[in-house]
Amino acid sequence: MAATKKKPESINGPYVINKPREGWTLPDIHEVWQFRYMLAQLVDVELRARYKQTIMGVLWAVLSPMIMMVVFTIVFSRLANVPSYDIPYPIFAFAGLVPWTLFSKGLAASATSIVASAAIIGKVYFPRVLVPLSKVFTGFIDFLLALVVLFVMMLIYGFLPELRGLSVIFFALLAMLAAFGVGLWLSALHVRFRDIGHLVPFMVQALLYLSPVAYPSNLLTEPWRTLSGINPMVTVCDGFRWALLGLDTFHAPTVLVSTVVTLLLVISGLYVFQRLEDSFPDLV
Amino acid sequence: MTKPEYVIEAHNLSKKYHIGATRETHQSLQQVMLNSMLMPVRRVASMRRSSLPTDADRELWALKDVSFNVKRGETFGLIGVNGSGKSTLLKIIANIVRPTEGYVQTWGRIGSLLEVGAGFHQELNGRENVYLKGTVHGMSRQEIDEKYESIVDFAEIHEFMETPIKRYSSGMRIRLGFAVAAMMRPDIFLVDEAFAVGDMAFREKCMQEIEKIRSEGHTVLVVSHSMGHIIRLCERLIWLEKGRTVAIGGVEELANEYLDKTVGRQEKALREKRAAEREKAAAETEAKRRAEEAKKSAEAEATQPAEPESEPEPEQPIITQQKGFFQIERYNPDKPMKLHSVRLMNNDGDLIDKIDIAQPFRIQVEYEIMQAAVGHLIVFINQYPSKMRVLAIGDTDTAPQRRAERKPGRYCAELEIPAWTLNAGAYTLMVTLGVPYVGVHDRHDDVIEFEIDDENSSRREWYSKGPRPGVIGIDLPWTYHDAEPV
Repeated sequence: MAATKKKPESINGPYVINKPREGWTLPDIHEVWQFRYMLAQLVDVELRARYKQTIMGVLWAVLSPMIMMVVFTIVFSRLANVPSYDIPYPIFAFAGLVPWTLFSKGLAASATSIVASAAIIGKVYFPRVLVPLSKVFTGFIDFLLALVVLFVMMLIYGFLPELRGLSVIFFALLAMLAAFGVGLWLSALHVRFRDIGHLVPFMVQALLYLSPVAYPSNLLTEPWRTLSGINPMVTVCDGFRWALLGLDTFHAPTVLVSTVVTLLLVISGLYVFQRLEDSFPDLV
Repeated sequence: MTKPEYVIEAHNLSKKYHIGATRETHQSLQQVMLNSMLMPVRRVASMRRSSLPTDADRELWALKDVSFNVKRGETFGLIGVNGSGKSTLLKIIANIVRPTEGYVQTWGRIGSLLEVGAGFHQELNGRENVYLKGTVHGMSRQEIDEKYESIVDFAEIHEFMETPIKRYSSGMRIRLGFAVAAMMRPDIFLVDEAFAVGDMAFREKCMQEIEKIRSEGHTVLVVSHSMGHIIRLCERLIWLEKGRTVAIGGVEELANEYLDKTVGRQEKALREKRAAEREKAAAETEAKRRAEEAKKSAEAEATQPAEPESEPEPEQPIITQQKGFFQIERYNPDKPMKLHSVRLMNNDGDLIDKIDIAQPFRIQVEYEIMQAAVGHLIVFINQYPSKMRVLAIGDTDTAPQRRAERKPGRYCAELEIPAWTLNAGAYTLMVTLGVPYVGVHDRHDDVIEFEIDDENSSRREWYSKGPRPGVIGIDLPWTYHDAEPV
């Protein structure tokens, strides 16, 4: 039984202490960084798995906002005569749909992500916050593809990119953070209350109509315009149109409100997520 | 980096679970519908109840004040019956579950194989899953690249690496799961008897790999219901009962005590039965020998009398009986064929003892032929407790070539019992090796007890007050010749 014991050449890894956790804490940024490969792997897996056994494959990332654009053009522009700042409605709608898809997909996928990942969560340790985060990043990859199509459409409709176009980086980040913040709240609560799973599709639907995706936001007057910034997607959609289509939709107070709301969502979401994290393996 | 003497230090680990009150099982369609409508109301009510601090509804201490240390390079076993807290303890060590009280400090990378196929993504192929699982366990991409070949070699499934995991058999999943976990050579390797479900050859390979990992100086923690595995692999053990430590000590001291106390009565009874049989058989052969000797010595007086044989005391067999699983080890009957193990599984390869009437199930028997002999494996399904034999089915039924003299070796035969074969009720499996009505080489009664359950079938609705009588569960179509057709 007693085999000769040779000392292993290299032992990596420090001490880990597993003890009860109390109070409200934030995820350990250092630890999350150590697990960055895992984040990349989760995104990779999600992308690979999503398009298995499909014919169009990754083209779906581009097709879904385009189909929505066609539907919106028919319904809102042709039938309902929704104004679009005197620019062609298809490009107007698409410029809103691309960031909207980034937000809505990230939100919907991250909200149910913990329960959907039950198989790994009960079997191996890693910072759980990577799960909703990876869903938001996955949506970002799709977004980059859709963005290329948006640029092509801009050229077709004769919109040349200006310097302020670079600000889409900020607006895209805002959309991702908002999706992540709501996703943190919902995914943590979803573990205990499965009702969230039924609620999310309606929430996304409702938010679509509450955000200026299919219609312009200049229909609102003050103070409602500033207050509408509580929904970060108002700022994001307006921001994209301002940055890329040269429309006069930039409204600083709204941007400020949205940014504050988004940061509050993310920070509170992180606390709540971390607080409930320990119950995940027992409840999923 | 200095290497510590102890890689696991557990201090007063406790884990509390709340278990909700069991809801009554639905009896009829009406009740099912009523239940589902009342569900939200009940949920809200129970939620409010459970949020009250006064309500200690039903607390369960899965672990209570468990402390122990494991040295680097040691193989440490966790033993205890089902529900004793072994798996919870492993999960706390693996940092998956947080303890309610106390703490555990581990050193180095932990690799775990907690359940069959754990952490695999169904849609991805074998190769992609190796990378996923490796990363999940803390390996970098380059590390996995380096180890990929050895992983695939170990799992022996080269040709399936591009096939999605969802099309893998349970055996293939186990192979791949074990291969990834073992090849990453973690500092602490946690194994929760997952490999015990695999076929015999692969199980042996896993055991050897664990021995190799140990000899390389890594620490291994093993949970197994097979005392044979525990005795072979472990140096020290912790014995848990209802979440509390019964004893910690060397495998020699604890294993026998554990067997005596827990596997207990059946084991003892079986041992005694076998001992009695052996004595009887020995007495018979002795009588025979004496008679022959007397005959011989009468015929030729010059012949020397044979030396009295001093037979070594046969080792006591070790029997493991668990949910859907029976195993007999260290067992050397004086016969050409002997039983090794019996498994009762669902189609996913999980061991079961409760079977839905609408689900097929499988019986897998491993046995050994020590000397060339004629004999069949016959599995009996007996009704419990009447002992009525419901089915006798042999592994030669569909393979007549097996009826001839068979070569020595280890054999494994598997049988699928289709859904809707047995009626709801309790049954036991009996296994014999031999030739019917001629001679039995080996026989084991009541190796596995199981239950067929029709709670979820439509048959239940019309027999809501009690079980439907009979042993056959077959669903036959009726033709109706009513005077007034409906």
